Amino acid sequence: MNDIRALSKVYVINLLSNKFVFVFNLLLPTIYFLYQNGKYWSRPAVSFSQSTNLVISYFWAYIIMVTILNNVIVAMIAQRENGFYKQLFFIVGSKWKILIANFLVQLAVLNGELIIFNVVVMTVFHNWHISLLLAGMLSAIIVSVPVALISSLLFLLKVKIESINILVSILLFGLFALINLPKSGSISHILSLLNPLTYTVETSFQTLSLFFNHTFDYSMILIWLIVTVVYGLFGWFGTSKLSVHSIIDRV
Amino acid sequence: MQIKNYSLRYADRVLAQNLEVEFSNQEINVITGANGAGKTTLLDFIAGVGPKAAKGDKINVPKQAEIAYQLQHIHFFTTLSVAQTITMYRQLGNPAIETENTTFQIIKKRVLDKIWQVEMGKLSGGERQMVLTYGQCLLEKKLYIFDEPTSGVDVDNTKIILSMIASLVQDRQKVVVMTSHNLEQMVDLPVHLIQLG
Repeated sequence: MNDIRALSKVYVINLLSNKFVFVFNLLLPTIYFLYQNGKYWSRPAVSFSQSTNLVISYFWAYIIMVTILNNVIVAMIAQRENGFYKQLFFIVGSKWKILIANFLVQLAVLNGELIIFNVVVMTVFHNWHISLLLAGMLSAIIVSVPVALISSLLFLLKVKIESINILVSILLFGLFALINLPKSGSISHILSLLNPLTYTVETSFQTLSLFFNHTFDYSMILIWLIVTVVYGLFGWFGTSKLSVHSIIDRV
Repeated sequence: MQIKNYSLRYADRVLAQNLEVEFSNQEINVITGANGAGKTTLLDFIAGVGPKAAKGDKINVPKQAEIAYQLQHIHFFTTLSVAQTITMYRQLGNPAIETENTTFQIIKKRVLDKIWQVEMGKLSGGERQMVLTYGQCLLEKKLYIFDEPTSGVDVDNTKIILSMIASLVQDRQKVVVMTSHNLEQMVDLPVHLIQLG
């Protein structure tokens, strides 16, 4: 535990030196939200209905997905390529300590991003609810581990670090394009949830519904659990293939 | 600690064929050889991260978690200051080493204190190597591996780095394996030479 704490401090210091990622993770979706919903600024308070919950879920899903991809997965690939990961591995002696330390720091960052975004949402909607902040944090905590695990499949790619950012952008575009596939039965529902963005939207939406409307789709639980186990299996495979060796350079 | 039947073959060349190496725990084991002789690959093999092409038997080689391995020319977290880097090593290792070992107290006072608040990325290559070697020596492991720790380092800093590495063997009875091209820098130290190629 001490090792993870020491590593986490290093990751926090390193993170604070690169604030540009927050532009992509937080500033862009916040600006887009204001562009789409700025009209509510001059109107009476907006209540948190199912339709507003869905809108918020999409924004949360973007923030969660992009933060995990950029700050956890791509960051780890970059560390592998420049030799940091190999060096750290032989300092702490465990792959998991490095992954967990990085993940915990980014989970804290993610929660911070969601709090800021939700404060903007509440300001625009003139509707202040602690439940929105709590639902955001709960959603982040629930989905971030499975999403990080499925995203670890990117460790298998034998591409240069210069190419990985382009690839991640294409991947995000593809996931957004597939986010609203029709769900006509359990199988198609499971398949749609294999898209981590849909998975995040669905989980966030259910959490928001539970907090604000006291409703919850219990039929979702089994499907959600099956998909989460699948994410876990893919994650176990992806992380087991994370090697200390750079793909392009000998470090 | 021994390596037996170590072979390293690539498609067009054979770098090692049934090599047998016995490592000393009384001296610094220094692997030397020409560029491309496979020194780093042998270190990787010992550390358990060698390429598939490297084959051999490892006898009494500690587990990965008990190996400290300092890589060659790593720009380690350039935004961390020297103080933050050493603090990380202290938290991950055994800070008592600094207080119990006079070599480290002298190096800390004479060298590190002057650059204590400087970011790692703003240090010269030699200073960076010295800070990282200092940190590696604070770790409590069974085997310490250093890949070219004095490469590109001036004479004074080389002496400091080698004194820290020697203290691992002389004061703490650890097994140390390092690579070097500059054997003349080590004439005053207890060295077990391993020639590759």
